[in-house]
Amino acid sequence: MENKIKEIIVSILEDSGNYNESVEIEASSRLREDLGMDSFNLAELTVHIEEEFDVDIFEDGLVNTVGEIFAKLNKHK
Amino acid sequence: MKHFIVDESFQIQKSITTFLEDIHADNHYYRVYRYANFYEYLVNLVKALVNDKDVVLIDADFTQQELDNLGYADCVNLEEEILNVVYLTDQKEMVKKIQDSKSRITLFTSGTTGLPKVVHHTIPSLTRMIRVGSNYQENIWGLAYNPTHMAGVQVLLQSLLNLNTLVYIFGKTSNEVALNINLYNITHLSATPTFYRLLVASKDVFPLVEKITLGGEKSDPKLHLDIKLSFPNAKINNIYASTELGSLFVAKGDIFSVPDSIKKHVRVVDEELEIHTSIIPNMEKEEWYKTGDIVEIIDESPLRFKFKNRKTEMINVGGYKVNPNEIEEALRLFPELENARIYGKPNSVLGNIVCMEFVLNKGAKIEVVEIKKRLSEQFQDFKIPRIIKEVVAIEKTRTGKINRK
Repeated sequence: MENKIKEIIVSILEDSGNYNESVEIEASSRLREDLGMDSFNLAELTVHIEEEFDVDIFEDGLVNTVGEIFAKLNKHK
Repeated sequence: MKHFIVDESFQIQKSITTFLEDIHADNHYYRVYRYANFYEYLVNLVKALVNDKDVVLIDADFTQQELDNLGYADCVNLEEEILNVVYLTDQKEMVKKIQDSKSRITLFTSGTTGLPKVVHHTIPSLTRMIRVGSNYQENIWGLAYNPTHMAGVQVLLQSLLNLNTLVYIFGKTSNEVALNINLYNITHLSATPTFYRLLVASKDVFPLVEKITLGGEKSDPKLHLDIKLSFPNAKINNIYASTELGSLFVAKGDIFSVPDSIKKHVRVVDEELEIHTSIIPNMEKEEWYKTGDIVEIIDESPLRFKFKNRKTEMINVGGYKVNPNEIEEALRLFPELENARIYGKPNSVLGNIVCMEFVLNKGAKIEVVEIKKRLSEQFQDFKIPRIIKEVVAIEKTRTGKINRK
């Protein structure tokens, strides 16, 4: 699941020209500050994750880090 | 010294004295100003207003094609001379001159026919909901709306006319917004639900903020709770406004009451909110204007109502309205595509997200990135579909219309 999430994040960033290869995506990475995702990127992220895992990760408010996404999805397992 | 205008991205911290000096610096102004940076924009706007000159406010992200279509391509950012330029002795005179201005202010709205629509305003129509007085003098405003759009113009007039400090935070990341709120002790914010959703995610607390206004799209109870946690001392208001009509109603919670001053000019027909154009100065035609907003009446007299949804097909993306027909029309010119459909999908970040489905012509190929790239040459960023999928067929309704649900 964690690799799938990272894959989704990379493809969104690549598509929008915001991808920086030198930045490693880790659980502690902050979506906006560290990975450079803007509000459109975050909106795309919810759609792709919902398609894959059937969970709207931002339903109860936005999350800030990659690790918090993992935690949300684990809770719904 | 008290700051008057702050824009950190251009290291701008101007006092009212410097602002007045910059207004007086020369006797030229731009009638058609394409937004480049906030301070220059504001100096130009105030210069136009105090000299009773007409001004056209053009968004920075209008494409060349949009400017051509609107007929402004040739006159953008051309300097024009002001004869008998007004000299302002102090800030009070500036406020008075703005309030008495005869200027026509032209703004744009995303039209339903494909092009941004031209909307003309005057100072009376723009300042209807603006409050000026000693109670407002100490307010410190964060400008979180695009300054060339109706909501942004309202915030900057509210702040200018009370000689408040105005901090430019539009387009900044939530982190930068939070820094600005704390650094400049911002007390008043007016923004879209999407802006607050991104800001409160950090769980920062801003005890100095006294008033939060939401507008531009539907908000939800969950967001109101989060805002209360982040802004524990703020009063929360909803505002109803449109580019055509300006600000009209303010709601506490989600129930809007119609102020006495305009109650004769507001009615609900078949659940749709209608406003009489006679309350808007200098409107060419007097008629009932259909807002396209479907409301639920709570009380008949005095009228109180709740917003339910939009009648039109416009997709509201974080407060920006996208007309699906406009994008579909552009897609019809793509030789690779047999058919395409644009629709909105509810989204927990932006309210709605623009999605696209397409059917390829036999043997044709096109990358999603290429679709986005070509659309970006014609359209502003918020109109570009974010979720794009190839499908075998586009679902149509029984009347042959493309289904948007």
